[in-house]
Amino acid sequence: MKTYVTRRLLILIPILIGVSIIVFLLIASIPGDAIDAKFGASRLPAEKIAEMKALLGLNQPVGVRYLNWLKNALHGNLGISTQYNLPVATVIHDFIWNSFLLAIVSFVLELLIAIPVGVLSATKIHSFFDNLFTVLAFAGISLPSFFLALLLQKGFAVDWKMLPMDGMHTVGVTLAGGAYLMDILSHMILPVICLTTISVGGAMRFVRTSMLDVINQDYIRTARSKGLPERIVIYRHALKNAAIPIITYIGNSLPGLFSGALITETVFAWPGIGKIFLESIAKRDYLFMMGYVMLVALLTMLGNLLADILYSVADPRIRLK
Amino acid sequence: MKKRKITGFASFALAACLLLSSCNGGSTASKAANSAPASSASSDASSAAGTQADSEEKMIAATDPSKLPAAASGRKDTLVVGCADLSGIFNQLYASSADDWHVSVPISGAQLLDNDDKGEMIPGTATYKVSDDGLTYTFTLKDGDKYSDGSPVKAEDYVNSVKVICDKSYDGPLSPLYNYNLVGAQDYHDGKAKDISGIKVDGNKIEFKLSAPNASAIYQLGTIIPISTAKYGSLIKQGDVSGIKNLSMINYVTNGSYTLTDYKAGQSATMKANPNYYKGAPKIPNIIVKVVAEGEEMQAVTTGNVDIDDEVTCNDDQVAIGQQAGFVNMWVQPTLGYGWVGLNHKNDLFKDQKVRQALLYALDRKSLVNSVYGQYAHVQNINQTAQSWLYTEDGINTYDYDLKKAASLLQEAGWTKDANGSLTKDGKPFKFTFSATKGNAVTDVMLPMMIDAYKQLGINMQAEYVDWPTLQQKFEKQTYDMAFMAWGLTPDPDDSYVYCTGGSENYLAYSNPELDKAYKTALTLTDDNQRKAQYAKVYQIINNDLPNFIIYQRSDCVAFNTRIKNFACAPYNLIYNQYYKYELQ
Repeated sequence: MKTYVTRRLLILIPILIGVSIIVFLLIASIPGDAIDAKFGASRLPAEKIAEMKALLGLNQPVGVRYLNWLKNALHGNLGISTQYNLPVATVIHDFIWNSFLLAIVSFVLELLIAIPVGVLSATKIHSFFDNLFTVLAFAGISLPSFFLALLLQKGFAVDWKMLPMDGMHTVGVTLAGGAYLMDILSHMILPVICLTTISVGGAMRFVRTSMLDVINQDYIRTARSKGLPERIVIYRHALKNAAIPIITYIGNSLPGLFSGALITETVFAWPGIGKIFLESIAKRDYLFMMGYVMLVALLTMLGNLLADILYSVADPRIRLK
Repeated sequence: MKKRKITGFASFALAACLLLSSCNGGSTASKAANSAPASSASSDASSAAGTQADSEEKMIAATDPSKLPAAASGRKDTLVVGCADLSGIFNQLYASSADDWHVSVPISGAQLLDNDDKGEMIPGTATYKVSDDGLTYTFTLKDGDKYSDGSPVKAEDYVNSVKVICDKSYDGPLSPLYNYNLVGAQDYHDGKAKDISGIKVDGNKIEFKLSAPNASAIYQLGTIIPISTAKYGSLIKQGDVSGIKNLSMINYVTNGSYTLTDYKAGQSATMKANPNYYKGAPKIPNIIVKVVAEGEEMQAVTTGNVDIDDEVTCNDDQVAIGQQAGFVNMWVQPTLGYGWVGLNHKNDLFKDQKVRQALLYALDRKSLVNSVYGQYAHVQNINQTAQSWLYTEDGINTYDYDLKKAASLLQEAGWTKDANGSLTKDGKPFKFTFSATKGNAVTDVMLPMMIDAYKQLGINMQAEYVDWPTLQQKFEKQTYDMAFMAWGLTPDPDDSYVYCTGGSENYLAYSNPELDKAYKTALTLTDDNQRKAQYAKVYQIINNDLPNFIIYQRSDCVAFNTRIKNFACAPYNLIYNQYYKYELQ
């Protein structure tokens, strides 16, 4: 197990380098650069523009720029974001935890709803309950997030004034301790409802399908026939075996917990990383784009590794070598 | 959401193109919210877009202040201002977005000069004199100006920011002053001199010497703000001004109207009144600038989340929402800027003046403006707005929509329709591509209109969509045929860099010796009457020769609740120049 994890972590290094080369080349090939985006259509003299591009090293060949980036990145320096004039790591740190807060809460809610509902749907297939949740799941999946977000905002915040409209804190008041937390919590309700609604349907269908695969197997019939209570049959025998695809799903969700929800964050003016990343593309904030994409790449691979490790926990037949 | 795309777009241009526009506006015909007559939003809806009356400033006053939500009335000493985004770059020497200016302008410092509501420069922290030869600018500081920490503002402090702007490591939006003929600025930039020889400080006097007259210099020199030598002087090193660039602006010692006390990344900035402000201590103790999602500005005001937002899309729908709320005042003013269509003169198609005129005659700008902005915009014909003291309509052709005239002009230019109805000349078809940014409210309507109108003339116009930096690069490299842009103006009327041969921003690749000469003369004049006459000439030449097509001027809407008294805002003096005047009920 230990050697397996070590080996997997070592494999990460060449993969990450490969990813960074591809991403860097892609980013560098987008027309325009940070100075064009910031000072284009400016009356600055051409020499000044050239001087500023040189300050950022944009006049160097792509290969040299990449090696500089790599050298700095290996020393833990991701560079300065041109958009914020702050180290890339600081910008990521400033915004990523806000995104994570929304994402983790809605992810936990999603699992808490999807697993029991999915299991029940599978065991009572084609029942009223199953059909109802199938309809709801597809409704959730098909709802565009901006529409749902605006609808929630209009209803709860603008018309009925029950919840805050946007942001993360109430401005103009000083709150401490419990009141401070309650304030953040009240700001989270609408975005969390929005995020959960659009994602829970998919997870529900996923659990339902995995359970259906398992529930008709011989050993389930055997378990039932030896007189085990239905609850134990379903939750101990069936669910544990249906867990592998669910674990894959959870593992794959890891990068999503940190990558931000662009549309929901934008509508609710939530200071998350999703919006920042989108703007970084429009503003050609190369180093921020690199830092963020590499972080997401790393998280994706760690998510896969985590899923692989959890497989062996869920199913002792899977041995990691 | 639509307008935001435009302003977002415009603010790039604004940010970059145009300098510290109108910081800390001085004596203005400020309009108190409650004393202004209520005028119905629909009262002049009947008048077609295109008349000057449409673009006048007006107040749509609140009708029922009692509806003010508790969320707003509960705030006592604090004003909450909404804006679309905050980047955290709040040093005015580096701030390059109009959103950030909501914070950077009041906290970075007060300028030597302000501008009035016509865009003319008036005394700020100093009075000024220009020598008869137009080469020496002398600023005399007013007595007793102090920083927020109580220390006096000294004349040499103003030199600090000049040094930063002229440094070779400076990478902010301001134009280096050697661009305006300041003696010694280039040598300082190149590291050949330790000081800028053209600047002399004597007691409370600062003297700037130019090597050649430049009418734009006053706008550059006038907008200089001081940097306290005692506090930050050590950060200004020749060849490395990163100390200033990376300086935290929290509790920055300033002679501006407010100081920054807190910043929550991407959320809000909190400012405290500077009691030492030279125009008198601001009446509102605290201001919070808060991020409001694009398109939700009016809701933010009607829910009481923010007290004032100056980025509301100016159209009938938004105004109706504001009126329905009862407690919302809406100040409508023309946006200081215009939208235009650029033509690449390297393309042989556009080299003939008659062709350019035909293409403009074939574009129904009135209908376009009406369908995008309703009554809150009008057709613009020259590259200066009616708010400026230089504006003129004398000798200006309005190019009213006229397809027949367009067709005959094309014929005069030698273009004939072939058997398929396509316009050809010397066997070549009239075919070009329009580059636009996606989701722009104006081009979304304009492109189908143009394609259709030009098709009737036998012209084949295609549209392509790109993002802003890509479009920018197409401009720079002049690899476009036709494209749309919108930008903001500043008090400095000089836009020769856009139109003159070899101008730094002449992406039109346009060259007209007559216009070059007219601009050159305008830049050397310092007498107001002479300048006005000279600029009229400039505008006439451009209007006749059409290097580009100037399309429209839209309006801004500032929505604010009845808590705010002594409201003041003008196209040349936006709200962040005027915070210090506002009071809370």
